[in-house]
Amino acid sequence: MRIALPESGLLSQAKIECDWKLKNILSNYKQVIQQKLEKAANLIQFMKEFKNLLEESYKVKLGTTSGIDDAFSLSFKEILPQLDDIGWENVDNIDDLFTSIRLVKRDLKSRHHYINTRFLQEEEICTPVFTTDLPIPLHLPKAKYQSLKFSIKESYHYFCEAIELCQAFFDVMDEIDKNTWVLEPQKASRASKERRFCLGKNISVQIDVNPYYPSTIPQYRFFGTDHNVSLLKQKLNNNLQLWNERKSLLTNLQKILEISIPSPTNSQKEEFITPCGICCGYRLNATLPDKVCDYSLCEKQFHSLCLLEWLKTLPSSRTSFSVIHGQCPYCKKPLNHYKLGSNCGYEFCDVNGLLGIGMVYKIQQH
Amino acid sequence: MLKTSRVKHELQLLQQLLPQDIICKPINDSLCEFKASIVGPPASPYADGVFDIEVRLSDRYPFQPPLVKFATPIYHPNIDQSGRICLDQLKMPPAGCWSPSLNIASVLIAVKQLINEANPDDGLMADISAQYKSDRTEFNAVARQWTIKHAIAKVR
Repeated sequence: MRIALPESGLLSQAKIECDWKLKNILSNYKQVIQQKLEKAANLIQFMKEFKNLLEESYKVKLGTTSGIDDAFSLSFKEILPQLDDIGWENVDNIDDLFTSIRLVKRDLKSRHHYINTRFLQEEEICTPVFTTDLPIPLHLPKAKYQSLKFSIKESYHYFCEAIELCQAFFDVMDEIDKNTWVLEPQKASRASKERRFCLGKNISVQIDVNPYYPSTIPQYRFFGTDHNVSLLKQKLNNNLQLWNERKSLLTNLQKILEISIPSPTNSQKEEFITPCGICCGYRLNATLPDKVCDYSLCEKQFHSLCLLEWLKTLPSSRTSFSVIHGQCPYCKKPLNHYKLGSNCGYEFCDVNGLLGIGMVYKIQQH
Repeated sequence: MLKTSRVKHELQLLQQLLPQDIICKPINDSLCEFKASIVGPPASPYADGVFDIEVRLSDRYPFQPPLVKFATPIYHPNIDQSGRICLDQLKMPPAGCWSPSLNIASVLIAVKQLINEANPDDGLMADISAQYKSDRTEFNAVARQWTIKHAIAKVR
């Protein structure tokens, strides 16, 4: 610091300059310093008092921040060597305060997988919380996971093992994403086990792939007109025994349903998806039209929500239990709609589907 | 959200479906008010007249029909002094036949059809309907006068 005295030599008019660290510490003591300057008999006396003040303020400063600083430096010391071991090319992102670290794993098929470690600070204990984009939970030995010693390295090891375990699952999902028109989810994460994709005009299937046994028959649900759905379900039931686990899921589906699934290489998306006949949009609350008029010459698509809203407005619609009976707004043919929730229209085919799978599972396991 | 996608689609339909003698444009960016003009059909007392029509979409559109009103006075059995139109497509079922499958363009085409062929059995204006049925020459004369006064003078 530098003290500049005016020509008059009056201490009360002296100017004090210092660097930003000292300024930061002294920021709360501006008035005190001014008072001391005015009262001090000479420069030496002021310097003595200033020294006392500095020591005092520094203690106060330490008292308020020491806890965080210690924990911070501790975590820093623990984490850095671990990151060295893991390899810095695998570190994707670290936030400014060192409270969250994202590591990346590139598998043999150059797919990227991420694990995020966040440190939750509760009093003096720092617990890491891991989030991954895997379809299966990450099993970490509990004792180590909760200990003060940060097990980033170990968690990364378990993470890599889990990725190895899921390779077949990722292959299946990649095959679907590449070779079909996926309707939902719009942007699938690696963790997502569900896919809804087109089988043809106005008909689609949603499958839920088992990440542990991705080549077995997935849980399925068909979307489309009653006629088309029952046709597909019949084929599926007749040909179930043809499912070959050594072949890919898509190959199996095409064989068993006796159809060729439209792929982006030989078709346009617009051929299979039409907008809702009421709101004229494709996505409403992120869902595509999921109700189709059963009349084969109409086959107009609607969002359940839009259709329900229209049928509720009409005094001619009858409701019995959870089913609302009305007319298609386009062809005026009778139309039944299930009232509870948006997806309940498909409850029945879903239950059938699940029962079918359950039985197959038992046969396979025995 | 529901309405935006719908109205965007309808703007395209207006361009595709409307014949040359019907114009319809949105008034402002809110996309819930439209101004339409229909040219009176030739060989009718309304020939050469330009009839302005206001179209308003409620918040519940397309679950409710659009509100369509004549801004230009017209002497017609199914259209009253304030411009209200008696047309099936503009009323909710069971009285009318509005359905989300209809749209502004189809409704305007129906209105044009109504101008051409009145429906005196379902008249909104009782005396005009009676005149339309009993004394067509007189009706045509009055309708022509109104058209010249309100729908043609304005154009000049």
